[in-house]
Amino acid sequence: MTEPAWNELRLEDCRQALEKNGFRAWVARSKEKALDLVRENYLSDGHITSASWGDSLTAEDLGVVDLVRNARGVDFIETFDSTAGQDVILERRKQALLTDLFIAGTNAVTLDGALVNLDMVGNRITGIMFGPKQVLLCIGANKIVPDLEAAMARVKQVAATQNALRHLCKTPCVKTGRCMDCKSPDRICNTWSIIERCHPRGRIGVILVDQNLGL
Amino acid sequence: MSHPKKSPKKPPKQGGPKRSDNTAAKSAKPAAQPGPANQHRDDFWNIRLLTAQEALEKGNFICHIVSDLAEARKLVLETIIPSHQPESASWGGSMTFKESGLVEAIKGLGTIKVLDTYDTSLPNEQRLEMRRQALLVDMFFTGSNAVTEDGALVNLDMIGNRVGALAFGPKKVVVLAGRNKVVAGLDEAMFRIKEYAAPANAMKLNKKTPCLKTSHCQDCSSEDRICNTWVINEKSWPKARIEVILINQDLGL
Repeated sequence: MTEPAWNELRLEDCRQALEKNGFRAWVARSKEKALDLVRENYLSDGHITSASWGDSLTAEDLGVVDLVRNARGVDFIETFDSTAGQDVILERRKQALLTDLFIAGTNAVTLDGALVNLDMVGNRITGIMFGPKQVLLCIGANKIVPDLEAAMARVKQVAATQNALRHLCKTPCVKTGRCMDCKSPDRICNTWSIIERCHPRGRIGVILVDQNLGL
Repeated sequence: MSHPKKSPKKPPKQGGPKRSDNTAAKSAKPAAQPGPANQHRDDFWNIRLLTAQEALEKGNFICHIVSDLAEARKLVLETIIPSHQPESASWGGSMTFKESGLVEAIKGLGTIKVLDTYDTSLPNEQRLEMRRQALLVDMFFTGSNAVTEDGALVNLDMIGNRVGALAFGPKKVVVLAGRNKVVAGLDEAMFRIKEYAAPANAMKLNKKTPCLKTSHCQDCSSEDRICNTWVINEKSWPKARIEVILINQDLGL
């Protein structure tokens, strides 16, 4: 079995690069391990009193969103509540920038330890960059790429196109399966964020999971 | 860099907005009285500013071109602020914005709650908290490290409060950028920032980074490193959230 060994090497390589760049980084071999890391590092001493999240299939699938949402003493801001009006959601997404803990995924992470993301609205990338006191990112092994060029290619050609299909956007990429750099009103590719170093050190924690997760 | 490169756009045809007609000006004057010595520079940059403007507008930004900082200031005070009537305002570190005198002017209006996150009389912790609160203001002012002719804003931050606000939070973002910030595309923008704006800024801030000695980016791991987070605004979302004032003057770093 070469694949598990190879995945393990890449995850560890990526973890070390992230640590060197000021991020906290862990490798979790299973969903249960990932949840244990969240409990241990974020929920054990009650210092998180408010939390929210930027859309992340990975964090949701792992159960990390539910774990924090239901944690005792945590006021969780629901930023993806289909029963609330658009204005209410927008206001909640702004308030989410001032929370103690912000949960998200990432579109790509490079082996030299940088996070690359592309947003439609911007609430997810801003939450990761500045505002929330701490950030927790859940990332599957499939998001690891060699460098920035590969990251941007992955985001445009794989993640964004699949995300447009998921949200039933009326963009040309849902027909062609690849980025057409469109001018559609439905375009979901507006603002990039590239985080090369974590400032201040330790603000962003990254759990690298030994599974293919998210888009 | 995989960013799609677009071929440079042709400058707009004659009769486009605000294009100064240097040829006519020259022929109207006798050879002994040449026009202003720097007219050719202004004309050169005007074409590039118009190219950037056209691209920015296609990307849902609002974009103005003005001839100098005084005109930019007037535009903000007489048009942009009155039409949005912000109740609160703040700004990110920008030499251009600072030099415009808008800080004092906006404070002087008395109608806007101003979050001055660069007030050095306040303790660091309080300023950091204000910078978080500044993400929620009605109007946020900033410069830009680069503006591309294909219509993107490119910025690199140490802390992230400026690029964070550019991406999301403030209702309205007003960007003031001198002509020296205009570059062809993303590659040139990133090169300009790493190789010029960031080292020059590190010198201005007297950081203990290797670029202070070499003037070139060393991709350092210094504790003083000011290059942490990039934001590239390819489009303004929602439409018109970001308003860019391109100034036909060399300003900032």
